[in-house]
Amino acid sequence: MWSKLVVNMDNLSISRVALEEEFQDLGGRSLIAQYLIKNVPPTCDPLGEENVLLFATGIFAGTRFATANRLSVGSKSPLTGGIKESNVGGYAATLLAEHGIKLITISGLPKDDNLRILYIDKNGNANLLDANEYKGINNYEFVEKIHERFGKDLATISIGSAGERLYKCSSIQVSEYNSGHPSRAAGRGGLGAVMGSKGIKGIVIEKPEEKYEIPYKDKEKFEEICLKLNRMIAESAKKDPFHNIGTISTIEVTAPNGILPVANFSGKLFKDYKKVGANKFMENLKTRGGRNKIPCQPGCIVQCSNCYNDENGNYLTSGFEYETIAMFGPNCLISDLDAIAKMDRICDDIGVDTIETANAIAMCMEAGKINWSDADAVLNLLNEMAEGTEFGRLLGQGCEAVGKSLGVERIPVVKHQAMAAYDPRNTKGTGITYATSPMGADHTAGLTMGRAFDDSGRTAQAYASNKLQVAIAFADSMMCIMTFANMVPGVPLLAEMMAALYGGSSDFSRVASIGVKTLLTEREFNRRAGMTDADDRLPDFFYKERSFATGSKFDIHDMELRTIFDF
Amino acid sequence: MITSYEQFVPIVMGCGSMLRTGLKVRELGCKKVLVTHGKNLKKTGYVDILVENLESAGIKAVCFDGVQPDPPDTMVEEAAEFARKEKIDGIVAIGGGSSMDTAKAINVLINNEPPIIQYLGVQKNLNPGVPLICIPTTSGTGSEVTTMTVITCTSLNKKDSVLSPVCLPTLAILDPELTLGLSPRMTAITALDALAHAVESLTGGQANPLSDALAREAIRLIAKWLPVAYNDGSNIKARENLMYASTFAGMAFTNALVHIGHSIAHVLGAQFDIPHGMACAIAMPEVIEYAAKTETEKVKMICECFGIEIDENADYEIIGATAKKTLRTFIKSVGIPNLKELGISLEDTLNIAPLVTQDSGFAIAPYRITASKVAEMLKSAYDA
Repeated sequence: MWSKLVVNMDNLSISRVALEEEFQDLGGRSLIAQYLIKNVPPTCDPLGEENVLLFATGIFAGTRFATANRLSVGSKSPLTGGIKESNVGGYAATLLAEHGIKLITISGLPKDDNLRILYIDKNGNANLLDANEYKGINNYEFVEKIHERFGKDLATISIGSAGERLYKCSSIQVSEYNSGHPSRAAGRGGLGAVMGSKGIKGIVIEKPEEKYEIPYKDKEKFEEICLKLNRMIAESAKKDPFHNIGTISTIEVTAPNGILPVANFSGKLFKDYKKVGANKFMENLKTRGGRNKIPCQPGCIVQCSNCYNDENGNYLTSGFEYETIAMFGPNCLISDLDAIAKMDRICDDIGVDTIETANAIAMCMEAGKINWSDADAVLNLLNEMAEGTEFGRLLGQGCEAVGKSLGVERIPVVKHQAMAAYDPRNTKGTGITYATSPMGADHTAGLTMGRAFDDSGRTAQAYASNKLQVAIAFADSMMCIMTFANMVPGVPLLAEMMAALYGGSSDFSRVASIGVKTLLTEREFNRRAGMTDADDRLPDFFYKERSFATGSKFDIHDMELRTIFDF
Repeated sequence: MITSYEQFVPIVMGCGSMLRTGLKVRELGCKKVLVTHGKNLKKTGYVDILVENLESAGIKAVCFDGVQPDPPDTMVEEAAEFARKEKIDGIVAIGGGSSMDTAKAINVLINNEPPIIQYLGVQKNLNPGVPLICIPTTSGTGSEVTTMTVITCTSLNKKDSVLSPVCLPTLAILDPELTLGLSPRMTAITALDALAHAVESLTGGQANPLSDALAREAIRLIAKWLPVAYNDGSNIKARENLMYASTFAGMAFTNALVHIGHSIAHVLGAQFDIPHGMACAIAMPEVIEYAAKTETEKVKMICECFGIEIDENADYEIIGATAKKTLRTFIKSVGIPNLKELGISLEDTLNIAPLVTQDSGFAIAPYRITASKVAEMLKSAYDA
């Protein structure tokens, strides 16, 4: 039986108990939604003692299913004020599953200012260790020190100085498989601040001596279906640009069509996009000894991660993604890929969400605090965040706080969370997802690009957003969405795999209902937290301003947004 | 809102225009064409006239007379094999929707490998076919101007469509005289199919000013001339106007698409074997009432096309209720029975609601509705 590690920071107690029966066959996002609605008051202070920070592994955790070992982090978000599930790759979930742990709950607040590490040793014993020596240091240094102290056969989950300072854009960084770099981010929603509020600097998980035996209902059947799906994924991934290049390949589609945000979602095209495009990226990898096709977790076949070196061939960053490049690049009119890689490195190191941070930087440009295209000025501002200057701390509160403080009118947020790298006027279904996702403006919740008749048109956009939001809600409960995208014809087999693992129905409605129930639970949490229909809308300027690239506005009828989750 | 109108088929129209076929096909450079038609049409003598007309223009014609209603994939694959063997360089379809859809499916398979089932859905990269000329003998489907062909997949036991430029006819020839022999029932059923195309494309998410103009004119013509043709099948002016109305509606919907009314019709057709046009009409009033919430101005236009004055201050509820009442009165006036009169139980009717929400047309609904709301619509239509 899967177990739950219960950490109470009020009295610094830890207990390991069996996971509740009702949660046994859930995982990831679905487990987080059900746990939070039952255990956390939606109106609580996200950084107060009533909030709980959760780490959950997926429905197929511990099995051989590709990317089954993704980690979901959940809590009430300090940024959105609503429910938050942010999922991340890396090595941690693999080791948690090998320990037989499906859920870690961290509740309460410590009575002192001490920092602690939650340490799970190779025998599965969990302890809170003093971590004051790591106070104020950032993720890369933290991981280095942990490796020096405990060796390398482990995974880390950590916050940098941003999380300690309770920045609302702070991330939780997870170490990558093999390299150990803390470059995988549970970025969105400021969950690093929740971890910081609980005085947890990091979670260190040693590889267990004995692996947890998964109680399959029918192991043979499971392995048979799993192999079939893994083969399908491997075959499809061969043609997937995310495998062959990386997520930066997305820019080749978004830039020519006005989907790529340029100059704070001005709607213009960016003629220099190739300077930060796929070819430039690949050329830099090749000439500097960098790499792509890196799995961030064991067993991943899509392998969209990478290792990006500077011009001297020294390691700079990894997990260098489209969103980061687009938002620090074209959305700030910057076309220097190396400068953007440095920004990515700083963000990973201090532990902040690149999307939220880059949008906050664009607010500074829109307000004239720094000039458009000025990469050095951006690096200076990021250093202010690292140093915790007064303005650095404001940046740490995210795009909306910065925009409001500087008097900016065009602030691209939904539910106080900044938009990712898709202009909602030119992929309107994604705009509908931004507006209605319980997570706030989140592209991973249902990116419809290329899935409706015309990305800039209205037809079938709400339908595509609805279908994808449901699909992603169950995919987020069981795998990485990059893998999911490569196994769409095999989706019905997920139900058969659940039946072989847990017993019960093998009908696809079992899987679909996980998606629907998760979304409705998340919406209910947000409703109880005080959100209304008005929170399910885009900022005014997308309704009023035309995208210069296409002439399009976000002209989706409110009724389409209001009825999106009518099931 | 930015919209587009992209599909356009050249049209020759007017009484007797079928006799232009030979010249037009020769202009298109064809030497040997396949004529598709159903067995019943042969009895009217029109097929013989067409073949003679083609041959007099120096064009060889071979016939495929095996067109079946709701064209099965097996039948179109057999016809395509015949077409390839005969090395034809053009296709002339004469008949209703089935004959034209068969010709379109053959055209898909002329330069693309069978089975047809692999091309269901939107296809942007099929190899082009040969010139395709459509001559409708009913005033309903509008297939002579659309990019789609509806095929029955025998292995899956369901109807689905191929949407492709290969399905778009090269030329449509509208000869209203060919519809003079239609019974009042067939006249009503086919015209209501056209009316459904018009009202749904007007209220759909892809509507545009040009498709709106075509849809409005189609509604006006059907409102005025269907009752005339229904009562007097020999009235050539009524036949003429209905034929143009169905083509206008076809042009509207191949650009603007249809939505929930057709989703309901597809399921009613499949579950209870109700003819397509009749199935489209059964819940049309409820569907348009539903659409009034977001497409208020468009539903107001529908009322106005039926000659109903709408108060300037009327809200969507009044407009929706007026449209519902107007459409229902019209549909009943041309002898269309409701589901109760068709002998279907209320329970069976309500049970189809979840299937309706799974139809592909549901994707393009003006706004999302639940299966239980669809059931409410069906309940309202059941004995209305």
